[in-house]
Amino acid sequence: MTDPLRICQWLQDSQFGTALHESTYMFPLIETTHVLGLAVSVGLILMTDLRLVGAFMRDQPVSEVTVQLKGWMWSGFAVMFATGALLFWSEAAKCYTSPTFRWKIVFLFLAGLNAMVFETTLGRAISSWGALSVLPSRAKFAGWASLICWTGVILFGRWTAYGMK
Amino acid sequence: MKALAHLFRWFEATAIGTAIRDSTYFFPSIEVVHLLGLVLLLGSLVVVDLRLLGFGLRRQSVPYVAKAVRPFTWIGIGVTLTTGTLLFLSEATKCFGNPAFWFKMAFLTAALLFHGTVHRIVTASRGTGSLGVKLTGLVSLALWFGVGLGGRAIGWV
Repeated sequence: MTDPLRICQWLQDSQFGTALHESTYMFPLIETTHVLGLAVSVGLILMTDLRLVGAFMRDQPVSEVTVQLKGWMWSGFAVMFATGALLFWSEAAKCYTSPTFRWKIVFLFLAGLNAMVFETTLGRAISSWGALSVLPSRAKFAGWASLICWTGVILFGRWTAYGMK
Repeated sequence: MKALAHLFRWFEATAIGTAIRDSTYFFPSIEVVHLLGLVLLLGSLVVVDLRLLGFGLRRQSVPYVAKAVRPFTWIGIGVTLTTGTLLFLSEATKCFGNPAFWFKMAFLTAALLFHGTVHRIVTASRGTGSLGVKLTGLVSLALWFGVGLGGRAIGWV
């Protein structure tokens, strides 16, 4: 039972997984909610990244953007994550064997890692550099890395869906 | 209605429509760009509409936030309209018989009109907190998310 594929197959074949997969309305409804939750959370992440790379609200400190939007970004993220987990549950074995899904998870992991490194290093001292007219290059790098990672998540996420139905 | 159906068949027969339909990669690639444009469009609108509702960037004024997000909203509209037109050309007759497509077009028309008129005027004024201002944010979000919902539904209906 330690084989991930068998665990995924078991999840997919579980009563709940099967019910989700076979329902006419639940799957499309969950997937639509997933995309709209994504638009809120990734949309707000995007606006934060655009601030970091110096394209949005340049005349305001970085923290003005990050602090005030953080709660909304996480709310959208929670919706996206919960619906994503349900979608995975209903097609776990298919996802596990899908190369595009694996790429999606790699980019998701990198996006998370980038955010975590940023939060625990630069993010801690945001008051010392966040108002500078030219941001430290590492802050810009974090912004670009996030933009690229999330583009990858969306690209491979949509691509995964093509292979499913 | 018959003339419209004829027009949609003509759309689908255009060189661009045919090229996209005949390729394995064109449609998915264009759709991914369409989705990225949508994220930029909705992301920038969520920022300004939350502000109208009294949330998010509360320490900045409404006109300031509106001006800051505007270029990104327009880039998002430009990208989604361009890629959306290409996707439409490749499957125009399928869209013609698809209620979700007409739902989306109705919401898109309303959203664009609202954005260019009421939304534009309200976000230019400094008055905040009134019911009208909050309603503007709410209607804007409802219309644009309606467009997104209709768009996803085209593939399901």
